[in-house]
Amino acid sequence: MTEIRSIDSKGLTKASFEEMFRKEFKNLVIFSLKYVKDMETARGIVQDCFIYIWEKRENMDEDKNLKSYITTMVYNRSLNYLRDNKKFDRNILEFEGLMDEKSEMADSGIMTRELKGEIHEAIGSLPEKCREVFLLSRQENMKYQEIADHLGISVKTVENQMGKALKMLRERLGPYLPLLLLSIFQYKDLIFLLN
Amino acid sequence: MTEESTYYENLITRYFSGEAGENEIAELSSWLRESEANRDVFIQFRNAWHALGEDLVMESIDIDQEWSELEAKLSSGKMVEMGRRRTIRVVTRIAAAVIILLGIGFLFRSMIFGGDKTIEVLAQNEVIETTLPDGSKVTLNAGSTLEYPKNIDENDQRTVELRGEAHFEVAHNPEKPFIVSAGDYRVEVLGTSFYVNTNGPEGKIQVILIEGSVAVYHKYKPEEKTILEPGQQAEAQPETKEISTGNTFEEYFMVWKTRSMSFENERLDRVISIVSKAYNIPITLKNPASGNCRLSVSFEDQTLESVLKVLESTLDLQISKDGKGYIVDGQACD
Repeated sequence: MTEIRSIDSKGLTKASFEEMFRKEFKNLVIFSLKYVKDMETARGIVQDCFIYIWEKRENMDEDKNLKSYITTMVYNRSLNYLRDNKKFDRNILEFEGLMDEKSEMADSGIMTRELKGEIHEAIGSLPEKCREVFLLSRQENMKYQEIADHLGISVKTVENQMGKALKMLRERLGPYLPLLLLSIFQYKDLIFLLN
Repeated sequence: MTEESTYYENLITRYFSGEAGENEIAELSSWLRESEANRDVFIQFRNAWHALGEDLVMESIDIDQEWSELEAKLSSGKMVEMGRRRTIRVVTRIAAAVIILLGIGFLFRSMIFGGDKTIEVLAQNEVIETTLPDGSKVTLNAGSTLEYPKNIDENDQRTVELRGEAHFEVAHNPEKPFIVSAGDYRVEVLGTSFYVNTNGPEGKIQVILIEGSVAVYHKYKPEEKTILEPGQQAEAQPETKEISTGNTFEEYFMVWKTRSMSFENERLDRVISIVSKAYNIPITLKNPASGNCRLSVSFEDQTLESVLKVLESTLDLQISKDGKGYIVDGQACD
């Protein structure tokens, strides 16, 4: 464990704020994305939370663990977004393991090289059309309609290709899924098992 | 393997892609309640979705762009902050030690790093003074970092790692040598007060002993120690692994800590460069020829503003703010 003390004339300096932003932003977006399932929304929520922290920096309890503070804020705002947009279903969120923020801190993005390689190979092994659609969705963050417009195909086709892609990837990554299941969301445990 | 996906597999995928609306979410929810088998399929899809997605999502975020977007949104607050900073700066140096003692102004962050617990002290925009658990005092110049084990006073050796410039006043303890790790070199402290700079001229590691006694050596040659006398400087070459000693060095090497300057018929360009170093702020001469003007003046831990005012009136210069620094304009002297 390393503690970083950043000492300056005021609690939260611009430099330490920027440092925290650069270090935590991606993980927090991925964390929020698990709830809101839309990249732009997740980015917006995390950006807003950072702005809130900055504006309230004077009133911030200096010893407060800012990372867990902002994680909780992202969690609450993500759930609020789901409620406001009538996409909140406690039942599903519980199946997903998302109803307890502590069950999954924003510490993801840690994966073994082995698993990463597997994943890249699995994506590479998809039929061309299927892969194209899947990457537009996951990598370019396009909605089904946008993918359909972009490729000149129907939304129904996009939907079928997406379903097929995920199904095939699930089958292809079969040997790894029990590990993922065992360690529901605990990527650190996953790494421990794979090592 | 290539069989088509079913209606519910498509629905689950729609859900994870954020395409599912209110009614579809309700449909998925009741389908999940129907059976364990349905929930298994859902969980497997979820795992595949997350495992596959995070790498791609990570890659799709451009952190530099995200930061500039955020910074633009902060801009209105930035003005307020600058104004506030300026007034604080005047009292900062006096307040710094007190603030540190009170523990105000610390931002604690934890991260997984493996191994021992270490403390990292970053001096960001200001010179800071900190006291280590063993009682040793360290003054760090802005932009420098010091790392040390949290339980430094429990170890056989007190080892700290420096990146940048610092002045040390080491608490005497002959049983536990104090060692500064400066790049590939080590400064082993047998006495008290000394200066280390890992960014010395021409990339050298610079050590200047003020009081007491220190030994400097390359990390792979601990038997070849160079012992310094007070007032001596050691300069170590990173490439050749050679250490040279001497008694001549920049007189104002500690000016960033002391802000004490006394010039006697000194050239203006030299004065400007020392003041710039003392306050860690760029100051440029608009007319380089004016650098030949000479002046005699002393400053004792004054604010930058008052130093500049004195210079302005002494030599009839115009000093104006330029971005983060200052520009000095004036005529050359005969």
